[in-house]
Amino acid sequence: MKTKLFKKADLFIALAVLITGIAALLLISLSQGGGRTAVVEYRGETVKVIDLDSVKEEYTFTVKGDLEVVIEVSPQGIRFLSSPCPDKRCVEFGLLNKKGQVAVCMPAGVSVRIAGEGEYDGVTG
Amino acid sequence: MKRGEKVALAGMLSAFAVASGALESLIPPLPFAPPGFRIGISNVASMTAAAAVSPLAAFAVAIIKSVFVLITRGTTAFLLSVAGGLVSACVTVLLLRFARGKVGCIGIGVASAAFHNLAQVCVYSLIIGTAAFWYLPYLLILGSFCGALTGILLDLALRFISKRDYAP
Repeated sequence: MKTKLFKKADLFIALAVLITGIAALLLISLSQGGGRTAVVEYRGETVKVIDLDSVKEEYTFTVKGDLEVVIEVSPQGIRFLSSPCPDKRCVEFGLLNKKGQVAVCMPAGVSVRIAGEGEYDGVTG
Repeated sequence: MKRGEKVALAGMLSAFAVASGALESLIPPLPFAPPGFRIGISNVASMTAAAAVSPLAAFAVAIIKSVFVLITRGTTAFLLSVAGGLVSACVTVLLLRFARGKVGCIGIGVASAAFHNLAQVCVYSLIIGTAAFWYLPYLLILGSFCGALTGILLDLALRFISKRDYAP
């Protein structure tokens, strides 16, 4: 049997995928408290937790993953400043300042994401 | 289609997958998409192979494409490519096997793209930890549009193939 360009089932497939994605995004931004906490992880282990709302001035720190990456924190948000990796995807993610945003440096095994404050109460540093 | 024609078509589709994969990594990323996100044009090749040649050809196309990624971009990129490629080929083959006539090219494209993303995020999470899954909502939303696009390309490819005059 020939496969047509579009059948009714396609609409359900596309909507299912789209709605799952949108629902997951909404859930991430709604389920967490008001504050914004940046979580820096190396291969799934938390390296550093920063309360972004209490950051007053810009500073940088390095994370020794498989490669040594430099991360910049400012009142505006958090970003990968530089990395010795070849593709620099992590830097391309740019500034993270909304809950649910993630930036990853695959070669270094380091990730940064923004969580709500509830998830990391009391361990900000 | 004769056996020779099938082999030739599978070969051409593999070449297209390799070439389009290489070209896609050269063009700049979509402005609002996360870095590393691609439309997945080369996925059209394995979907076409599944629909016009055989399931085996679809897996072969996916593997050949990934081997090229291994040579040019290293092991991590290879693992991501091969996981995404094989899982999405599986989904395409299963849809064609059990729902042929009920799903269209766009549905196949979207489902294949969604599972491609899912498989890649799973491999990603082995390297980076569970933070990788936070990436999935963005991939699913963008992937449903890009999957529809690859579905349209699949339809064009199948039309082109069925119009060719394969003399018996």
